[in-house]
Amino acid sequence: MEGLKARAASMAWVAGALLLGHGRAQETSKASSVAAPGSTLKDWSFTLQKAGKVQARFKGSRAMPAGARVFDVENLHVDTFTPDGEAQITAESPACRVLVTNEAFVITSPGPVRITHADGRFAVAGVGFRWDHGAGRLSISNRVETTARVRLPMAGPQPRPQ
Amino acid sequence: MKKLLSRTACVAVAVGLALAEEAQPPVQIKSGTWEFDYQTGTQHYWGDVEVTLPGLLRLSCMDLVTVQQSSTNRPDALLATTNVVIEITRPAQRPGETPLVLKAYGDRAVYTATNELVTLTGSDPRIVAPQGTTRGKVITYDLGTGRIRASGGHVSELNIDVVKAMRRTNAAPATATSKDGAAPGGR
Repeated sequence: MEGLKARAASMAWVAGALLLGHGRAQETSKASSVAAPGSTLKDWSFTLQKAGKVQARFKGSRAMPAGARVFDVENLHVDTFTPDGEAQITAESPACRVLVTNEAFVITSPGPVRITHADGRFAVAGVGFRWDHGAGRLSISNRVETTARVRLPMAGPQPRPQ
Repeated sequence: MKKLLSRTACVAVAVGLALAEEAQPPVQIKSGTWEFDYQTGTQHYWGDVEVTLPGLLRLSCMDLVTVQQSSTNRPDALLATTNVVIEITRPAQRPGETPLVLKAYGDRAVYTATNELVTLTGSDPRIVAPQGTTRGKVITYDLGTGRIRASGGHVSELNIDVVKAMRRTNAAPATATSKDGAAPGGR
């Protein structure tokens, strides 16, 4: 009897999640789609699509559903992609909260984060961050250290003689 | 002699900057907070910002905004504000030679790629080189030509050791001033 109740609760959760998702955010992990709130998912993964194209892939060693399309994730690894399918930004965080909306996501954490641009142009690390992919904004609040492979503006070799 | 001093300072600045470009390692930036708008390519650093190009360049300020298009690895624009200090080091070329260090100060430093100009403004903007100091309300450094121009109460203070060396061959005043903005390093 208890088993049947638990199964019914799980099915209700899945139905709710699918209704809210409008079929655009696709969960690729079977484990995550059968989880009820309060449960823990191991080797969690999630793929976010827009117009049939992959926008982001999420992976975490563990994830705990914290509401409709909200997950508290441990050891998160996210890869985002441009509309052309090119790799864009990668982020890693030991613990954070992921909110997936219809076509985007928001990740927040008071803890450490490391972010790298796919073309190697920059890598940035710090503590406390918010990544709103829908708005295209990333921010880190504390102790930010950035390494950038950019050419700073520099002068030409010689000035012309007077 | 003034022209000679100006040319010497100008060459020193330009060579130092050029060396920095040739051997550019990754740029390190430390700040309290960072925000990146990757739709516009704008990065905003604030809170004790320190930019370091090891051994070649240091920039410190309280607030730094960079705008960069994704198709290039050069910033289109840089805006540094509040207590801006830019330090350029030219490594020693020979054993026993000391590195050449140039410092620029201002409340606001703006770089725009379209005209390759760096403009220093604010309270007492100045460029300090071993040859002397250039002051003015607005100091503009043209990265394309190596020209430094100061306008609005421009003053060039020459290092007394440089003046003494020059006096061996030609008498010269210890301080040169002008109203038109010609500066050590300018043409």
